[in-house]
Parts: sequence; structure tokens; C-alpha cells
Amino acid sequence: MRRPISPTPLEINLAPMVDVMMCLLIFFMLATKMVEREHSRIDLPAARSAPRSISGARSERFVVNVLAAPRPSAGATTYIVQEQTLTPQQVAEQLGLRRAVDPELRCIIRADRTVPYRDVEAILIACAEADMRDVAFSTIEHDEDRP
Amino acid sequence: MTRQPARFRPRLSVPNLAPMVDVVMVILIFFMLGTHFALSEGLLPMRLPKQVGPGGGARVAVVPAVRISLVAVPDDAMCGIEVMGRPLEQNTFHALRELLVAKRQAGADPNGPVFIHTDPDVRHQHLVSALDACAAAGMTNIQLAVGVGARLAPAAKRRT
Repeated sequence: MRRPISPTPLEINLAPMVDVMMCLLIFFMLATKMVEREHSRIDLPAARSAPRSISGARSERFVVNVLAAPRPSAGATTYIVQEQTLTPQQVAEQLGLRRAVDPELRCIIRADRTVPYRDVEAILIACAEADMRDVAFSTIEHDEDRP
Repeated sequence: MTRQPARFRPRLSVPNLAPMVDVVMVILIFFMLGTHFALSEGLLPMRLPKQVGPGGGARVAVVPAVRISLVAVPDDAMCGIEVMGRPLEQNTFHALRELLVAKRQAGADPNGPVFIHTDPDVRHQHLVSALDACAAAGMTNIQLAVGVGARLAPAAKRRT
């Protein structure tokens, strides 16, 4: 009489999968941190024809976040550059310093859709005075519910 | 050589990686989705006029191919749209786009400068909608007029 074959325990080697997942996790953690330092949570204006990409290296762009006041009576518009709240004068000073170092610098304005133009114009004037003529507005995809 | 009984054989100790994989997968999906949302923005590029800035002493009078004015109105949901000083018949950005397309089809240079003047009280969304209409009509040389000199004080702004 033959002896029954004993079942071999099946083990899956998870080590390579864990390696790949850890690499992906670290990559996305670093990428997300980089974006968060430049960007604030803003209700951006909608535009249909804007290309969906952020061109240029991070060192070649100067991102200014323009946040609307939570209520009309709550005070002035807030300007945030790399998580620092600045006045328009301070934004202009930083623009001038960065522009002196990098002539190819591009200014990206991420302004809330409800902000009046006078608050955005302050940044445009700072760009003009720093002789930085390459400016771009951040937008989101067109939403039919919006004007 | 004699075979040892099973109870004396050394047993391999393998750590259980399944809970770690579960947690890492959840974190990975979170960061993947978060990164995707953060980068799904578009950019509307433009040029500021050359005659501003430190070298603005030698100002050159540039005749724009199209001059668009966005005028503040009491109705906050919309602004007044004027092209070459005349208000549009239909005060919508779709009509602005149609007008610019008609100008292009009539022979207007798509590289000709398009100047946009905006009232200080006009909302940023309306300016972006005007830029969007210009870009959709194929106008590539879009410039914003800004006041220079007396700056950052709304009461003292000067238009160029």
C-alpha cells in the first residue's frame, strides 16, 4: 500500500512586493509634500482652454496663493508664498530677489475666483516692477455650474 | 546518518507581513489620490506689456489688435464686457469668444496683441473667463494692462 503524499505548505514571498510598495509610497509622500508647500486650498476659477500641466521645474516658478477673506467683513485678502503669509510688499520684495537670481523665473498666481481684481493686480504690478513678464493664472477644469 | 524526529527539527520563523501590506496599501492609495488632485490644475499663460518695469522709461505706444475692457457692474455675478470701447450686444464670454473668432476669420492676426483692461472690483473669475475666451479663439498674444508707479495702494493706482 502506497503512503499518501503529505501536502506541501504554499508560501507567497511578499518581500519584493513590499519593496516596490515602499518605493512608491516614499515617492508619493515626497511629491505630495512638495505640492502642499507650494499650494494652498483655494477655490480656483474655471477655464476650459487651459493646458492641464504645471510646466517648468519647481525652481523656475514662483507660486503666489491669493486667498479670499472668509467673509466680506473679515478683513483683507491673504497672500501665501510657500506656506508663509506675506503682505503684497513682501511678495514684491521676494519676487525681486528671486528674479535677480533667475531671469527665466515664471510667476504662477493661484487666486480665489471671488477675489477682486485689485488684489490680483497688486501681484501683477509687483511682477511688472521686477521685469517679470511671464505670468500664468492657475485654473481648474471648466464647470458648467459656474459662470 | 539518522533522521531526527520532527519535534527536534528547527522551525523557520517567518514574520507575518500581511497586516503591514494592508496598511502600506491604504497609505499608498491615499497619497496617489492626493497627488493626482493637487496636480490637476491648468495654467493660462500671458505676458505683461513690455513698457512696464524698470526699463519703462522708453515707453512705446503699442496699438492693440483687440482691446477688451471688463467693467464692474452692480450685479456681482457678471461684469460688463467691452471690445474696442463698445459693449457687447450679448454680455457673455461666449459672445466675446464668437466675436474674436469672427475677427480671426476676417483676417485679424492671431499673434496681434490683445490688451485686457480690468476694473479693480471685477472678480478674478471674470478675468480668467475673458482670458479663456481669447485662448479658445486662438489669440496667442494676450497682455494685461497694469498700473505702475503708484502701486499697492488701491486709491493711488494709475492705469497705463
